[in-house]
Amino acid sequence: MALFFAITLILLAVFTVLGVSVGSVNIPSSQVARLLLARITPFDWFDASDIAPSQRAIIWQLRAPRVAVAALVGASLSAAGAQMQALFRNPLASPDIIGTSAGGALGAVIAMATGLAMREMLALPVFSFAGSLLALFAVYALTTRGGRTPVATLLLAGVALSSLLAAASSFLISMTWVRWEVAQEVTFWLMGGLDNRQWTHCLMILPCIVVGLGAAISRWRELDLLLTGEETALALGVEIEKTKRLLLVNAALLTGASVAVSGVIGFVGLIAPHAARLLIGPSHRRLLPASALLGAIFLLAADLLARTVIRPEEIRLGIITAGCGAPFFLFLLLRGRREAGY
Amino acid sequence: MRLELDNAGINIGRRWLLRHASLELRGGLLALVGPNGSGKSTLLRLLGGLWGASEGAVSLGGCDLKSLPRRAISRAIAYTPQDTHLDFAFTVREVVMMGRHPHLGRFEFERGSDRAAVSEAMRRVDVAQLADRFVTELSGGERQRVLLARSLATQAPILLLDEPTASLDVAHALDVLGLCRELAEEGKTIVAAIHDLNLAARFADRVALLCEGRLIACGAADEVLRAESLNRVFGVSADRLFTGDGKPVFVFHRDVC
Repeated sequence: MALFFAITLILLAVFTVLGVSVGSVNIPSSQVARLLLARITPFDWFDASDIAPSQRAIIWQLRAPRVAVAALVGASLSAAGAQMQALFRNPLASPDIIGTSAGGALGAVIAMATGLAMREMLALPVFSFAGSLLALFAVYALTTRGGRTPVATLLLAGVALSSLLAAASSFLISMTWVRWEVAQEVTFWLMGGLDNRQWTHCLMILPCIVVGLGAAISRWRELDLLLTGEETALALGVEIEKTKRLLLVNAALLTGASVAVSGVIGFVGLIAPHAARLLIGPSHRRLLPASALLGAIFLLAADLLARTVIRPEEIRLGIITAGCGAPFFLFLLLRGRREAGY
Repeated sequence: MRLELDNAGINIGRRWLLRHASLELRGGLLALVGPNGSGKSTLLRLLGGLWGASEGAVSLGGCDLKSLPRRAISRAIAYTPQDTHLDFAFTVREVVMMGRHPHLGRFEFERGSDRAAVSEAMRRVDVAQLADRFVTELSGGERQRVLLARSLATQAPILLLDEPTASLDVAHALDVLGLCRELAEEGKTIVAAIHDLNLAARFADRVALLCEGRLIACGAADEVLRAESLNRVFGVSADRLFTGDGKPVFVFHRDVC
């Protein structure tokens, strides 16, 4: 287990440095690593005074925020996915598949289309959190009976809700066509991406991750018990309703925060928790931090790919994650059908 | 610790799953017998505080279960469900350790005493050799024993077992009920729903007979399990024989006489 965390932390560092050094102008990794270390460590442990100011600006103002946002969004979507899978006791639950992301997106579109997002910095994250929470609650209330959620019901409800919410978003966008620049911004943002992300975006999502992940990790025993069945969990002293409410709010908070800073990015919340479970088992004490780490690495790698495959053009990040994630999802579905008969 | 049902019942919608059940538990092994759907599992859930009583009351050591915090109930009463299905690949040791949940604070790590309780529980139920296997890879019978070990790991004085021998082979069924016997002699209170009347008669101190949500008889095995009451409840005729050690054995026929 220590090996797993050591390797993932090293990979996280490697992809962070690579992500910052690769771009329209390549910057040597050693310079990048030195500047990043000099910035985030106290005192003068690392000296980066020899790096040219233009390079510094590219590293610290342009690329580092984007890479940081990518890592944080990956981590928070995966943590949200892992918690939803515990809530629904169903390994196919994840933010985009059951419509939570679409709810967050609708909330954000409302904030943008009404112009609230322009006037108030926090309007966007607050609206997308509210949208995520409502969507998640709706799916939960619709699909779960007696603590069980049949896979087919969950997926169908997710599809229906996603379409409905996406239609509402499209409607709002079409109403804003009169203001061309707003509509363009909204559409572009809906496709999911990390262009022009700044440090303020990091500050938006960071507290949500700390709260959403911390609150869940501190209750890892309750979450483990919930996976083994509600009746057993109750018999062993878990306050079921309280724990489920926490999961609901947490997952919505993490999804809402990600959607607010990066739009809808699919499949991260499905792939990373699955990979983590395969590598280190289902216990949430390890699963939650491991999912977050793998999600961060996955999105950093996907973003790197998105920026390099057809340079100098960029592929939208959502396309890359869907390209990896959708086949994986189908694989899980087929395997599940063979083993569990759904 | 005394567990008491006072004229308790549970309804779902307009249907009563159990009515007017009164029972006092103070040590010993009580077997619940009755046809499918007679309310055995309901009675166990009521006793464990998993379902609240719709009428009457359930009290633990003189306090109404509804007024006690859930963790306190869980430290006193361990419930083992009939459904042993587990989707997620926890190891056997992790599952048994879950039994320590009511004793552990949110930010507490497992102590030596928790690990000792887990090892002891696994040893007694004979699953110690499975400790590092995944529960998803076990047979139904092995899983059932693992869940029993988890209940033992709680060190609760009262154990509620829903069909603990349902998916066990003859040898393991005898072992598990023998263990229940031992535990009862050590002072624990055990209530087990048991389908096999011969096993119930052989191992239990008392037998409670349920029929259509009513507790119709409760007492020593040879008083409760009589040919005429079995005929009335199960609709079969029964010959009662006695083995060499004086325990009753039933042979059932479908032709009602």
